[in-house]
Amino acid sequence: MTRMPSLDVWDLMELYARRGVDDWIKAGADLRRRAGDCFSSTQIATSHREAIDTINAVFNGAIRQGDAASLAHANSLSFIPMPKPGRHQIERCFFLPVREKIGGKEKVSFDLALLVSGRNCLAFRFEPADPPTWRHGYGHLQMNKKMLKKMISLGGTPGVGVPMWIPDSYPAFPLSTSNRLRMFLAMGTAVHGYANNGFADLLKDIFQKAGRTADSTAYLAELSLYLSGTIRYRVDPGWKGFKILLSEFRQWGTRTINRKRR
Amino acid sequence: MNILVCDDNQALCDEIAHNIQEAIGEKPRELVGKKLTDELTEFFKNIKRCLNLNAPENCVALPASPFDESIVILDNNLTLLEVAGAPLTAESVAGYLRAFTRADYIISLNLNSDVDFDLRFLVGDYSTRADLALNTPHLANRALWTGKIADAKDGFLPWYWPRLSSVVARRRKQIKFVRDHLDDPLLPSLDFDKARTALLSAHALGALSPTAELEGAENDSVSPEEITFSDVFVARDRSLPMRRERERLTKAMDNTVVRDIIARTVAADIDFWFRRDIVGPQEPLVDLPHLLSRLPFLLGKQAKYLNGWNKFLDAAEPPFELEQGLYAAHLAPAKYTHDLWVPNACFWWHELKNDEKLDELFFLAQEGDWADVVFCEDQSLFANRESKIGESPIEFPAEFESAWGRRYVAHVAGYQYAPRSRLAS
Repeated sequence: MTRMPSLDVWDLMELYARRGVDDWIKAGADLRRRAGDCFSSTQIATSHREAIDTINAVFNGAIRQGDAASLAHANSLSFIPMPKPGRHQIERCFFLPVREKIGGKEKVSFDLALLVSGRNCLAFRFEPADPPTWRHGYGHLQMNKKMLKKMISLGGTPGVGVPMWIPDSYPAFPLSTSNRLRMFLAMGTAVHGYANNGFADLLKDIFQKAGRTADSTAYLAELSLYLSGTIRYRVDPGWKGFKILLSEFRQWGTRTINRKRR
Repeated sequence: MNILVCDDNQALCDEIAHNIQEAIGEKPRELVGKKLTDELTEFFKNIKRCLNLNAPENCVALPASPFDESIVILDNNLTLLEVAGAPLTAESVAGYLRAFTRADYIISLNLNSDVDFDLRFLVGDYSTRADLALNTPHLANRALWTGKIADAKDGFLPWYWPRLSSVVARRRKQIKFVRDHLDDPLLPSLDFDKARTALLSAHALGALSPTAELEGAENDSVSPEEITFSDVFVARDRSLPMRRERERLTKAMDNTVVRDIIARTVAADIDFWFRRDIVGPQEPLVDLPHLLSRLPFLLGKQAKYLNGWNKFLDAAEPPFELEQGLYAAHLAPAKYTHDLWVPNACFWWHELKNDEKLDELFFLAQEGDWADVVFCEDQSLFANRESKIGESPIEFPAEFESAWGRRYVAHVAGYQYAPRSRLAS
């Protein structure tokens, strides 16, 4: 009988990271050198093992600047190369899952670093909601100057890395979720787009290459659900797309009839 | 099927023969000890007449020999044979037998007796100069000969094992194909156009020619489309180790005996190339079980149940239990037409991947439409990825240059999988 796959963000992230590493080790020397200049002391994962170790690394407590244990943790992590983006202006993207166990509960956020061109970078962080009474009491996306709770600099010298004038508290765009899987899906969609060789196709591909195609349906459905309202026919994985098409067709019919009546 | 077993030890040879008889009910011929020594001595004396010729165009066919059988099985350890010089092994004679006798298919036995399943390249033993490397107990597994899962001893049937009952007929067709195309460019003759050639791995190209490059930067670079079958003969040393001898033979291709020697050698090389560099990595061709793994909707409603996934294994002919309309419209045009080079039906993956209709069907699937199954390479069967009873299949990364290297094995008890480190990766 069919087993309904359970959604597991770490499992998904591992498959995604494997593909990213495979793409990265084929990158040209120039790109690798420029990325190295930007990431300076923090390494970029060049093996599946390094990426998986980073994905699985959970810091016991809150990561703080100046704290020796936090620093040791930061040094043990590697930026994970994301699969080579399709045709767009960003040369390569890297991410870092930030996992902290605070008061017995795990808090997960994601740092995203983009090597746009040359040695010019941009960085973002996908964060879950702060406590409801706080100003960032909603899942949100912010720009970033320093990564991993300000532990890791990205460049810092003029012309290398993230420009220092970037504001990193605002804007804080709502993500409509604090769910770790959905934040990851948001990050993937932001980098790859959705259909037409976008994140949906990438999800399909990474599960196919893992020999686990059946599992892709659950993640595609989750992605569709998360993005619903923005998806249209032919690009929506699943029956939901078909329903959206029917609904749009009905709305178009109603509008046309009303216009003719007028 | 005429089978010859060669060994230096009578008892071991009898054991091999017994295993074959147990599997297929036919007793093979045996060539053992002194008789084998005498035949090999005579054989090497005869081939020297051809190889040492300054004028290979005068090369004449060798007299009939006991090695002219459909399948020749050589035990790798031939050290007890009383021959002058270094001790013999199957590996040291297999290539010469291929080139200079009418033996169709050569098996090296017990080259690596600790390995039953090859986790590296999914070919058995990639280093063998024979067509296939096996161990004595494998011969008693009837499924090795029939390819039928029902015949598999202990359920062990590596997908990469060729069906021994069909290898002879296929090899004869392969030799004829090569003989007819000896001067032609290899890849176009095998339907690899420029786009398909670009999908070959660096290893696949390098295995055809050491100077092949997609975008040749060096003066002596060869465009892959220009490599001929006879170039492959010069480049590869699995049969005749001396390059000078190979080069000399290619200068006498008008001689039908020489042409035959080259055709036999290249046919075996290309067969191995397909297994090691195309079918193993499943790119750019994909066979049916791996295609179903990628596009489960091809199974229709059967994809919901494990049994549905394994039904196709009994289907030898198109549409392989798949939906007729879908097969005819989308799969049939992408089917690889040179069946003689692949052990099972194969399809051009990138053509299916870029098929918009198939892509649409993929995204129409809902959760639960497809059973969560994986293809177990050691059993030639699909199994639930997470088994409720017994062990679940184990994932491993194969070693070839391919994005499709993550595979699964059921890990059948009592069989050795090597290198075992891959099971922990």
